[in-house]
Amino acid sequence: MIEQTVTIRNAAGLHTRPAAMLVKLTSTFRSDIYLIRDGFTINAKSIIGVMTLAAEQGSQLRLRIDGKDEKQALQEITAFFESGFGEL
Amino acid sequence: MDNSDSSTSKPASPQQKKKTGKKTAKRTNPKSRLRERRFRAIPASHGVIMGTAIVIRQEATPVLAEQLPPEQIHHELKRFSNAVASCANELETVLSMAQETIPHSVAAIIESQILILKDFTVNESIMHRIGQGISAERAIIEEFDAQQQILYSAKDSFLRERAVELEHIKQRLLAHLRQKKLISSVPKNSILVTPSLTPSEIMLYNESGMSGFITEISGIASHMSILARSLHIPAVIGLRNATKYIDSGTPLIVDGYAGVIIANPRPETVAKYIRRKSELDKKEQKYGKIAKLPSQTTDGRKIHLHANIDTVEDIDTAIASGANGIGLVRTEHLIIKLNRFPTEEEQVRWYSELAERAYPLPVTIRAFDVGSDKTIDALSPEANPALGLRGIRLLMKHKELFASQIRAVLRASHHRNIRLMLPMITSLSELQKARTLIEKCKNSLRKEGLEFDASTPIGVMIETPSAALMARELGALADFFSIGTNDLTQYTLAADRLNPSVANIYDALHPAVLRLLKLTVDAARYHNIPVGVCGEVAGHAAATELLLGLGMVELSVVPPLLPELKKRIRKTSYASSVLLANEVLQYNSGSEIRKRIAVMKKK
Repeated sequence: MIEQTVTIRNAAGLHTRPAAMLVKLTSTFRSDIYLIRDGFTINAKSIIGVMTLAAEQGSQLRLRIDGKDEKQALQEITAFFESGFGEL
Repeated sequence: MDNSDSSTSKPASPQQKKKTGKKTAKRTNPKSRLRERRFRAIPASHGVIMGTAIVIRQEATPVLAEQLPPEQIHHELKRFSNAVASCANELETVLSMAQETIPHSVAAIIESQILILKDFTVNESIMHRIGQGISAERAIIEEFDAQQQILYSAKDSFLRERAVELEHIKQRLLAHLRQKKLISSVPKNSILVTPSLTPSEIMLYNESGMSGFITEISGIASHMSILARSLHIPAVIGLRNATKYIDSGTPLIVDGYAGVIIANPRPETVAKYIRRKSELDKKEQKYGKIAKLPSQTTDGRKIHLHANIDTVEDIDTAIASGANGIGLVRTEHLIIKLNRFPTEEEQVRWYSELAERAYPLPVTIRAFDVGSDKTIDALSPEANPALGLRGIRLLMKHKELFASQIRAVLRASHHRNIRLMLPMITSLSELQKARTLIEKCKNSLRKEGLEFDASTPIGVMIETPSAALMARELGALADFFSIGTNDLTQYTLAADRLNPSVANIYDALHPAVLRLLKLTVDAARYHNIPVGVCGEVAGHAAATELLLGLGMVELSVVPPLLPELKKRIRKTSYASSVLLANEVLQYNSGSEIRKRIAVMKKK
């Protein structure tokens, strides 16, 4: 299991479109993927879960990945957060 | 422009109230039914249309069954999964339609709805509830409500609007549970009046005959509004109780620029709106082609083409003429109109209207720049007003007044399309003090629980030689620069621009002025912030190429100059404009510079 902190960088926050893109990305991995915010844990493969994080610009989330392809998943998911979901 | 809307009733018009007294459907007196009525709400998508109302009322919430007998649970689970499947099928059909006709971003919205619908965690939770003997309807409502609650409690209005998306999907899912497909066919020239519309509904209605819509729900950043704009469907939203006030078959005028709805318009009103529409159409014909083309040079450098405005109505002309933003709102106009300083509430209303009417385009609000040639009664006369207490100096002296403006601008910023600009900065400490005051205002708003965009860009007007010379330092505390060339020229050359005796000295293309522009651009580049010109020179045909070559990324002019300016930008090569600018910066007189530009133009 690996964990890392990620930051929401785009102005609009983790709204529907990036949430959908994130879920599509996380669903390509076999590992269990979770996002944690203020002690609130959601399944990162669930779009409603991701939306309900209500993560606005600047907020920090804990990314937890557990499974065989966790390294690859961590790399791609953190890169997606770094890119501000392509909205920077 | 039509200004008579000031008499318009607010969303929940009091004059309508008597009707709600008795519920029995007694036919209203035909005369009163035909009386012209005006409503005002939020303009979400531009355009003026006339048509006939089709009112679609929300389905009543389904009767919730008591505990299900165990033998029915299996059937109920099947009913739920069938509903999910047919709802997804419907959305996928819309999506395949959508991908050919609308931008990718909108298709992505519908795609995300399909993902929501198929979300396994939610579906599992709903099925778990059904497994405990709860009806599918109630399970869906309970689960979605729980998720919506979380979103509604978000601080962020963008995220709160996502709760609306969930509501849409919930409603569609419930409809499919009752095996109700979308009624998607409406007669031509229909104006839909409904509590809310989903993106897929808009797509389907648009295919048949809908020419515009009115909703009770608001949200100019919602998918509903985004889609209306990308399909060019005029829309006015946030009219509370719209479905109560308007009946099917009522003739309607919808003004998507002003957010005005007129039911049962009198012939004179119709005539007036036909004129307004034909004026707008003419403008559209005249500038439409150029207005829709991107504002960029022949070698692909994007230039933000902005408009300088005084009134809310100016926004319509600016947009029709192809502005991609409002580069300067002179808030002094409000003082002149009222002949006093407006209250915070008055300002909030005005700035919100500006932000909503221009949305999604950015609106740059300049803090009151009173003093100098814009004297008002409230201020004592000065011997030398241009060098006196004006702009930021006056604002910082009357801090409570400035604070009320900052608060008002912030309170109108929650759509995230507002920028605040500070006039007449001459030193770093002035900017520091102003920013401290802005932070204080943000804190007070937080304490009061009022919503605002904490990252509202704060810009500095570069209109004094000292500001240009200090641009490197100022840039560290600024989110953008806007160069006011009128004042910059007058202060650099010490020539009053309104004094005919020194008119020959006042020259915005004087080498000294150009060198200050260059310094400002260099500083902006160093800090990676946008820089533009909002002075008159931005609109001069001769200066366009030079300004682009100097590195300006925003040009802001009065709306009538926009189409010509865009044409010039689109004919200019950025690469050769840079060469021109570098060459011209070596010259030592304004007349030489003009000559050089003229030669360039002839080629």
